[in-house]
Amino acid sequence: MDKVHLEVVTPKGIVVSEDVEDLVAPGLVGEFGVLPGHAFMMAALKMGRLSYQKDGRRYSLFVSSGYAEVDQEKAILLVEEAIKAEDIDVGALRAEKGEVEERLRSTRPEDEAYQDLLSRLERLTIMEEIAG
Amino acid sequence: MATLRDIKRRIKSVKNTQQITKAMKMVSAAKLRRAEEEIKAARPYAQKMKEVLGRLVSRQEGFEHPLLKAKEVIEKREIIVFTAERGLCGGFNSNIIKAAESKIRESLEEEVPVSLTLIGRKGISYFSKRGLEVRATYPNPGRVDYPWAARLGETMIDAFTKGEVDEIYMVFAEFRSVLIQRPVVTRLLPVETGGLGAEEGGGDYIFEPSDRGILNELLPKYVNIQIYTAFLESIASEHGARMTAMDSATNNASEMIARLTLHYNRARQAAITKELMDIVNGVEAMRKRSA
Repeated sequence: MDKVHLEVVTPKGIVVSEDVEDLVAPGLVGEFGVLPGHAFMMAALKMGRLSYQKDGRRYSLFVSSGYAEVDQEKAILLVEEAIKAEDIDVGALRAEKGEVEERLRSTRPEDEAYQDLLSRLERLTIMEEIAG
Repeated sequence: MATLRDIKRRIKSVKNTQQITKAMKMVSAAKLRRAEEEIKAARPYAQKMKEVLGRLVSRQEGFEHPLLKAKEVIEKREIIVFTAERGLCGGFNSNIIKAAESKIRESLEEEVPVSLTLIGRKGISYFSKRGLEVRATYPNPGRVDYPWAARLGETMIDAFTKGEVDEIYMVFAEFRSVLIQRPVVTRLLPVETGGLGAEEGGGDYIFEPSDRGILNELLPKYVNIQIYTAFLESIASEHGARMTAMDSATNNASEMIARLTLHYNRARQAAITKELMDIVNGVEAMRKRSA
């Protein structure tokens, strides 16, 4: 067995279902890599980049926080949101980011919306990084 | 007796109605197809989530988590009611309202005060006049996206962990088929672990960070996906119910048109016969005089 079956499952459906050579996922306590023959593992995921290699090419996805289950031949990721890097609309992303930054400047840390804006900004920044 | 013109006018108006019901049926059919696809798409995620939680919870004898822990004394029970924005969908809304009412009655008999979260205009207009505490109302967005459900989930978890409410139930229509939608009442919080299906230990796993850590991360997401699926079911049911209602309305209209057309033809025939008789009588009378 020289491949891992990767499955990315979201409430909107299955985003990726492919046999890959390796993958790197954003674990809650740090990134982890998975190669074929990996030990049984359950891991919590945080928002970030999931990347995998297939036929010698690397692919990236933006994933939100969630859960991963790995065994010797497959890796199943349950995430609330997953977007392939090539499906990220960078123009719209930058526009939204600019708007959030703008609003953040006029919001004080003790305001209710502040935390919300910060987490939106974080999400957008990660997405931009993955798309770029 | 109705004149010919009256009957003709009625036929025309019934035909117009029929056109509308036919169009509504078609629109509902299209929306239903989409909703069914969304249900299918959400199924693997929901299924897997349930499985994983079951495995984690069954490993943890005596594990305590605020979202799992049943309160000893229930001082407040929250009921989330999913109704539609509009009517013309048969018994859909009234069945849901009936199910919600019986849950409310049951709670009040146990002397547990109830507060409501209402989704959909039909439920809002019914319950806001009943003297019950309404915590929040939301219009039914018609199409759910997951973030919407997740936001509602967050609000619910927040109210639960702060102790504002001690139990949360959902009342929604479960989609069985186009013809059958069943109102169901399920508990959202504290999370029911009985139905998760405990699995055998599963051998040696590496946990990152720890099994409890993972459970902490997953439980809120489980609440979200439950709200999301309830919503999808409710929307599919609404369209199914409307489709069925509009289909029978269209059929009724066809029947009515057939009956009215028969009336119309009879009346027309009677009128012609009467006219003919007048003419014949007139001719007879003239002939007699000239003879």
